[in-house]
Amino acid sequence: MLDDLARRLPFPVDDYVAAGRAYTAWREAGAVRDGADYEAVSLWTYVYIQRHLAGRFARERTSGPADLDDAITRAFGSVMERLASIDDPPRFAHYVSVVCKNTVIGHRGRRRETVEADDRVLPPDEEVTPSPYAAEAVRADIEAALSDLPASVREVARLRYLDGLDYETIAERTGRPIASVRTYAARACARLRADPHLRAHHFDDVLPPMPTGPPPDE
Amino acid sequence: MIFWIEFLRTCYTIPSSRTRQAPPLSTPVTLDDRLDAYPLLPPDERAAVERDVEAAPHLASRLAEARVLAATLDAAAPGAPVTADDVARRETDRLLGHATPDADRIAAAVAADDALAAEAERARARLAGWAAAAEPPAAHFARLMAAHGASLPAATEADGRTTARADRPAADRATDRTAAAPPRARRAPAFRRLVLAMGVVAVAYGAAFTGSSLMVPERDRVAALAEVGYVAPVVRGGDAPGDQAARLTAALDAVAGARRTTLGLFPRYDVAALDAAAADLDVLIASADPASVVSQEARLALGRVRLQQGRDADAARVLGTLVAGESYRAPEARRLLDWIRTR
Repeated sequence: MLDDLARRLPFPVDDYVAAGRAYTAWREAGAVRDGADYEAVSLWTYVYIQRHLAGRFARERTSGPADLDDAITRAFGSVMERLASIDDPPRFAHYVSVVCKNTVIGHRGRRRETVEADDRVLPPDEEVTPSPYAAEAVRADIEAALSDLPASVREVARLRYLDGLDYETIAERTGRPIASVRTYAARACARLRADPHLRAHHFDDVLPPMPTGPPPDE
Repeated sequence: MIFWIEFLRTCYTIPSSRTRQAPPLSTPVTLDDRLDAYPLLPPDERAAVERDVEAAPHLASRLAEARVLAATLDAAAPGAPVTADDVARRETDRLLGHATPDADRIAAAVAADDALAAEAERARARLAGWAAAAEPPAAHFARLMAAHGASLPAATEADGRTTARADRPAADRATDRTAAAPPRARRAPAFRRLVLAMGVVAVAYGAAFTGSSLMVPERDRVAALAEVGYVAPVVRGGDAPGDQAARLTAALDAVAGARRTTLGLFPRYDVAALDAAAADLDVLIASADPASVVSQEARLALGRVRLQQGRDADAARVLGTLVAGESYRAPEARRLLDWIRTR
């Protein structure tokens, strides 16, 4: 059954903090490819990738089961090959999420090369939309990106981006003129636009690199 | 207009300095400024920016970047509108046995929106097709781990409970005070037996999988019906896909549904179900614009179905139209035609 592996996870697949803790513990213990922490990390990685990519491929036109299996194999191989050297261990889940995103981009690129599609007739669904699985990681990255802004800007930005409030409500809640609220939000927006961790969620110009070539287990 | 006056004022107002003079309201707000502020704009203002960028193509890449960032930030905000991606996520979680934290919110949106309901149906069909065709995840995982030189990870206990607490990661154990771990000496032999048994099952299944793959007739491998698929794009604004696109999706789902396997092995096709799907594709091709994506995808799929059924002449006829019409599917059609000609 497909959910057998998920039941074996020692923590929920969407508990990214627990995944980061398990990975950090494994690294701190010497990154030996054996033991409970290694098993938890590798199992979580597989289950997360399977869930993430199945969700993405459920909407991929012209992709079949073989494409999904290939993508899972590529993404898992990409993470496992670099497992002992990933920067910022507590953000392990973020890394895996970005690998998944890049795997989808890579798959689309290979498919386009295969069919030699003419852009004029390709259906307009090729835009890479943010993964719904990355929402929590994005929120954590927004928090981190805003952390060294002045407190007043940070407060407005949190209400705007994390709580989803409109300007009028933010102005009422903070007691600031709406013009100031807009200005602060614009400053925060500039910061978010330049933040490399946030960029990694939606652009492929940031590590980790896109898996290329044959699947790692071939 | 009121927004831009407001925006203009805010662009040049520093709240901590009340003595600073704002520029005159006649100062123009550039498209550059509006692109910078794009993620902050309401939908109608974003649409206006997009219209203006159409007249300034050199800014198209900046707009694309702004749109993706805006979508990322929007998706992370609470109460963001339910999208087709969210619907696919819920269907995936259902299949894989994960809890979807916002399942109720998504279910309510699906119940109220026919386009999302159709999206859910399509995602469910595609995922079911994948589940039927995929190598069992436990075997797949074991194979990938072996490929990376690792031992198999901890298995489920015989009674179906999750792994023993002592096998859980140190970080997790540190916060878990609900149960005592069994002594390692008592646990280890049973654990090794489970791992060994799982390995044997994985190897046996792998061998059967390999045998099954080798026994697939060349014709079935070339036709590759398991890879036939289409998901109608949802256009901006959330409009439902066209009727023809929905019919194509239904016909291709029927092709996928005609596949039968035994534990994911020895794939075969239900002849009657495949004939019915081919008839639907025939009707669709007759009514669709030959230049449309729907027609091209339908013709390629019908060609593959006819090829799998051994009806080479019918397959060649429909695939030939793709080549002759210089379809974007022509390279694939040509490959299939080459195979037919070598028979």
